[in-house]
Amino acid sequence: MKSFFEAHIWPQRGRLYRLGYLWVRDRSLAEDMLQNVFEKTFEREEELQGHPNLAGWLVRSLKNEVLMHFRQTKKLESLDGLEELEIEEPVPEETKDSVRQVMKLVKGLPLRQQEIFHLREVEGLSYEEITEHLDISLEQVKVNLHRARKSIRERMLNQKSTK
Amino acid sequence: MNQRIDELLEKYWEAETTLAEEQELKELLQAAEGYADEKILFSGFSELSSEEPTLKIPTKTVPIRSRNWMNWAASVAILAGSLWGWTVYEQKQAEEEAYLEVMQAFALIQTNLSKGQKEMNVMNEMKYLNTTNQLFGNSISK
Repeated sequence: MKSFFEAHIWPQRGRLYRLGYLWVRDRSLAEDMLQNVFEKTFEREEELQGHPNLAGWLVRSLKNEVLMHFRQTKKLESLDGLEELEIEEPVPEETKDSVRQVMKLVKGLPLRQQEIFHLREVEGLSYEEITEHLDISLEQVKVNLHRARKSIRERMLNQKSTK
Repeated sequence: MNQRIDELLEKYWEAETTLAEEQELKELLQAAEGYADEKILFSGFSELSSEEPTLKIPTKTVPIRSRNWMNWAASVAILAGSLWGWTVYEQKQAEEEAYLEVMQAFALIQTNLSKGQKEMNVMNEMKYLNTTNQLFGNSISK
């Protein structure tokens, strides 16, 4: 029989990893951070069984891990947020053209818009699920997704006109 | 088909599509001619969603206190082994002591025996005497 961790937390690893990757833009660093979160979560397994929003709790834990990392590496002076962080991420050579194009279009959007856009387009989550994951209102999800799509559409049209 | 795609795309960019409509749009785009930019965009989402991490599932660690009985068992085994070793050693020592005593006794017997044999050497000369007079003659003749 599967434990609570195996049944409810472990299956979320892919989604959490991809979200972590969106924040740190480094695959191995995103993996290390998620592994840390899982080690801590595993120890608190019993306590988490009755949590009303497990997905949101996991996202918040991962985000805290990321913030702590950037604070320790002096990239962030406070724990205010990742919004201010400018990550100069080199796109790996082996990245497919389609993925490269998405990264290019998304780059420069406010982080909140990137998160919502990612959860909708890549993870295929409903608005309600996004509100749970990011602990924000439904209105905020709709507004930010609309703005993100609008910006991306404009960027695509600009690219087309400059070709 | 293209009319439906255009309609869905318009709704998509306005963030008014449902998840089902977005799925329909992706499927229609795959089968349609043109729409190169949109196709690249949606295939990029699909590629990104297939990225998986290589993580190790955490495992429970065995508490050390459950091994206490093993410490006791090891101590008892060492004590029993030491006692047995000491008994064997004592026995060996006793056997060796007894052997040395016996050997000493034999050596004493051998020394005394050779001493007695030496004393008996005088008697050997008697065999050269043929008569009693030869042995005691002088005193008798006197």
